[in-house]
Amino acid sequence: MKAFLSALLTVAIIGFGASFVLERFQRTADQSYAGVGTRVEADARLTGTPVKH
Amino acid sequence: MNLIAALHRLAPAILACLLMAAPVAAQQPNSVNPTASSVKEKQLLDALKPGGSEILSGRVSIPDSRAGNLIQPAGRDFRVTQQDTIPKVGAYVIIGMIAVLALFFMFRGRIRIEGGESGRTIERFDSVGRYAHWTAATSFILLGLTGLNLVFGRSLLLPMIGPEAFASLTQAGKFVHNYVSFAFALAIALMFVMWAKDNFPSAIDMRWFAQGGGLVGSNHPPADRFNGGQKLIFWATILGGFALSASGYVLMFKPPEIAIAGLQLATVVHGLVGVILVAVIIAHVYIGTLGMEGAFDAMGTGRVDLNWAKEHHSIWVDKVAMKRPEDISSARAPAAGE
Repeated sequence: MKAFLSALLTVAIIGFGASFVLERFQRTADQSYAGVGTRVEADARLTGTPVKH
Repeated sequence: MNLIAALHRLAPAILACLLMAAPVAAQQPNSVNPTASSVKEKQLLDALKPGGSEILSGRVSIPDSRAGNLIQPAGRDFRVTQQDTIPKVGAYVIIGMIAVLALFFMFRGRIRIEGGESGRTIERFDSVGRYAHWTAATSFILLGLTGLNLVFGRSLLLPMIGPEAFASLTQAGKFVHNYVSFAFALAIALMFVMWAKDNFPSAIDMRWFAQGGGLVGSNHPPADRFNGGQKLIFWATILGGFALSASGYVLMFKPPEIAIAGLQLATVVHGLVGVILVAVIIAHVYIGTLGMEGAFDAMGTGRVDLNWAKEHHSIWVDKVAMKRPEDISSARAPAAGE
């Protein structure tokens, strides 16, 4: 039971840790290439034609 | 004089007409360079034909030069493989495995400990081994469910829960899939380091397979710490896990050195190996729980009944009795973690 709970904890910790590292990695990449090519700002309000169902 | 006066009155209108005509003149064929390399419509149309094999690419200002590919004809075959072949193979392999196991259970039933429980136990896996196993198992369940959603979700889940819920679920699943993969890769590496030495094939395994591995009939062929079937599952997990990790990280990080064809190959490898490994692990879970009495204890408490060990791993029991007799209890020991 201890081994199983330790494994669950490890998966959770590595998962959350990876999410922080990868998000920082993505943010760094975004800043490095700021102004290059076409990029939509994260807080941009996009408008378009509403989807008709 | 009247004519001159009339021209004066019409001058602004004439000037306006000349100005409006100027852009039209610029669009006349005479102003187009017929040898311009940027316009090769025939080449474009040829590449669009079915069976076309030419890659059309241009220049982009963003760092990822792969974004400059306008047409990659091999992408059509890739699309068919991804959207049609992999789901079909996955359905055949997974449903086929479940059907085989169900039939096997119907005819063979649960494999019992023939001598009954002895009351004595032997240590099968230490806490580090069980920790590695459960880390791989819990992460693989998350990876498997989120991965199967990518293969089958559009056709199975989307009609049931609707586009909004499916989109949210799939996006969350994609993040879980990416983040949890690191735990799986680490667990696979740990299991390889710990158990590879006991999983190399030997002549004993050939005899084990020749006698049906004890799955057919009541004969239990001798086996060392791991029998032939367990070795197959071990190497399928290690090699499959390595292939999934390598192809998955190629897709996650998309190294610029790898062309689009490489990314497509990684996608196909990831999908096919993934569905095959899911089927293999379903068989592993079956034999470790429902299919065989006493087997779950190996990863549950770490200790198995001595009679179970003698029936399924007789050579290993003899070795432990000689080298580490203290690993065999004289009476049932409390479960690890209790």
